[in-house]
Amino acid sequence: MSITFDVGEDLQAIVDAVHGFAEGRLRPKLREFEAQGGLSEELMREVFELGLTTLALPERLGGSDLLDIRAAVLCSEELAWGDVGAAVAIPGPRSAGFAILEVGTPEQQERLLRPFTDAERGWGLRGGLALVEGPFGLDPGLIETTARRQGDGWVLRGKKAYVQGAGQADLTVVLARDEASRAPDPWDRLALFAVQGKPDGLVPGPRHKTLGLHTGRWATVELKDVKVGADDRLGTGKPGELRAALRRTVARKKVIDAARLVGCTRAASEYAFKYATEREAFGVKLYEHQALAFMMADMATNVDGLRTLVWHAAWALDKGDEGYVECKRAHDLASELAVQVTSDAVQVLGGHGYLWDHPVEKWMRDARTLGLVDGLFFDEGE
Amino acid sequence: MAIDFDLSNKMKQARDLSHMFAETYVRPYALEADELEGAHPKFIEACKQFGLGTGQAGAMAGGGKGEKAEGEKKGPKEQNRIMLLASEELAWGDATAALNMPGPGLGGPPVQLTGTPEQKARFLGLFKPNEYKFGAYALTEPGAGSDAKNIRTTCRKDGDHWILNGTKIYITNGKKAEWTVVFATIDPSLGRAGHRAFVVERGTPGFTVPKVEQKMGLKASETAEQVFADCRVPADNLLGGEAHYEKAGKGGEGFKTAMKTFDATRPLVAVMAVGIARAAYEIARDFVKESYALSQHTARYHRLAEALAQMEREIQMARLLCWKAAYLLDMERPNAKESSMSKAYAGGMVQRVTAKAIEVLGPEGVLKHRLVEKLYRDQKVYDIFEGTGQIQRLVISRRLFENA
Repeated sequence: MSITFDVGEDLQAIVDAVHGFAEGRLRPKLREFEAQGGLSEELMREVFELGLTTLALPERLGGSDLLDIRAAVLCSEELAWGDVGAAVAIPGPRSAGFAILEVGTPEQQERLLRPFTDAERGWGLRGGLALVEGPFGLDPGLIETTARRQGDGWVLRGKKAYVQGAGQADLTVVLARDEASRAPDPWDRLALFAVQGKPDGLVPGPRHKTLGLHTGRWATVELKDVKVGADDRLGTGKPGELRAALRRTVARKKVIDAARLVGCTRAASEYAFKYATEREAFGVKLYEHQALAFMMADMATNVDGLRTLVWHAAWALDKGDEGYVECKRAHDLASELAVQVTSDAVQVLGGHGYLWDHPVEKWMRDARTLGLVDGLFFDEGE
Repeated sequence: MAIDFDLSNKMKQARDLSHMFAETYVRPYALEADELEGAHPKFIEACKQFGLGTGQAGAMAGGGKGEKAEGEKKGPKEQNRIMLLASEELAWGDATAALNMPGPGLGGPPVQLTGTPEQKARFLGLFKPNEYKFGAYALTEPGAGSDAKNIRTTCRKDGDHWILNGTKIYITNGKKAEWTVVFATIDPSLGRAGHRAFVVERGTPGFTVPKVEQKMGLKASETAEQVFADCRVPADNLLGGEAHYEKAGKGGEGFKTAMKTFDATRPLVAVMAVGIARAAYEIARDFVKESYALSQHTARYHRLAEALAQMEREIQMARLLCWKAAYLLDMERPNAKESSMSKAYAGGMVQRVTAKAIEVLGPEGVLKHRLVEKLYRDQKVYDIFEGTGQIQRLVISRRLFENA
């Protein structure tokens, strides 16, 4: 194989189906989702039936093997094109699933992820990822949540920041410091633990009110002596395992968020382009004004360019590279350009764009919020 | 088929060979060539020794159908992607290297695309490996740059000759070229339909080159003005022959020839901007590594590290936009919009990246021996030639709203 920018027929059919769903079911209700802070039960069941909640799971866990990360980013872009707020609210293992896939043993993957594909109750299950503790990224020196051995299991105590869907999660993956560990590498003193269900000690703080993505429901989560079993510590604990797994986990999360940013950005630009063909000013259509035409040419270029960056990062992950550098690169540029393009989309609509009558003001808020609000980055040289 | 960014063996080979050449025979002489205002003798010698040139590159315009060498048919067409990979490396060595590679240069694609078999043999066959000879391409005039359809150089039939009158400017290798593809009009009021393309050979009566320009950058590349004063061009040198223009009915073939060339050359030029930007990025990165080895805790170091990351991101996006445009060309699909996107983005990117590289080096940045000042001078024209950034945005926006 060599450099190819084609999706392939089989996958394109899936992407088209997801696009149809996004257009028919998500786009028309985006304001409702924002007001409710999530999807309706009916829609959750629908996305589950379509297999969209477990896009990233392999076939052995009930996912679809056809779907590698390239497929996941393509579908994520389409969903976010429908509405990025809806896209982040889709249930399923979410990023907690990435962590379990990266570091969990086969037994843990089966036990923790299989329920998400359960025909009866899989539709309503959500994963949560609780890694960071403040706005300073992932730094092993700054993880104060502790894991203390008690009997066969562990007791977790501490406070986690920016946990998506806090209070709703049926499975929360928590990063904590093993109190007893004296490992030479500070990363190896940390471990990931799976907290199942909603135990009493797992206390979500009030949902943060955010600039955008009201469907994300980010909040602080306090762990007040939460007990987990010995087999809920993810992975084997061998040196170097955790840091590598975290980097792959964050890479996966970033490339999916980057794809969502592309979707959101594309939606906003297409919306503006359409408006420019309808609205007249000074006797001609808006797009016939060169100041706007040039701005829109840049918007289209940025959307196309970002998509190729996201594809490239997904490809790197698919072929087994760590992929952190590629995914962070795609995410960071997507974040920057999404802010610019969504703002330009509002600009094309002028005063109308600023009002709730059109979705572009929401997408402008969403684009700035996405990918920052989880606080996931490594504070170290590239 | 699936999304993929692996390089085929041929691609890797082209990239690696080109890099090796750039590293050994181009970069070390880049500054000297800039001061010499011409190709460096070592570079010329190496081109001859290895039989390098743009002769084979005629196929880069997606043309050359049925012209492939025996045995080249197998496998998917990759020519444009291969060209891109090789060009980035060459431009990384020095932006003028590609322009100083012997061969038909930009004159190649129009001859390939619209020339008759006889013309292709006569004009392209002229370029033999191990010789340092050039072709050129003349579209721009003092009064018609980006708005190429307004060219005023005239042509009229006179027996078995055409008489050309007018002035062409910004002609790369316009003085030393064996021949130049010259665009002229039979009647300016006809617009594009009146355009004709000729191959004008050096020494044709009435054809002179009064001036070689002084420039801000790309100084090692020759940029000339060409004047046609009752220049008598044999009818056989009308590109494609008269039938080509009659067949077209409404005409515009001459203009289309020019524009088709752009679909292939824009990503090629854009990827050269990527090569320049990468060179600047690497110099800045290495400078920061060396200068801040012991002071990585300083605020300035962190600011520079972020600046480098930003440069790298934009370089990669520009590169992928170029690859996409070339991929579409290899697949023989329309790519006018994507070509322009790659060029529009790369032209702005290389300006930002080289300016930032100078800033990263601080006072060292403007010193000649650091090379970034040269890159900064060289890059500016990448947002100008092969269509300015504004023209690219015109092309893109017209495509965006073509059905409006």
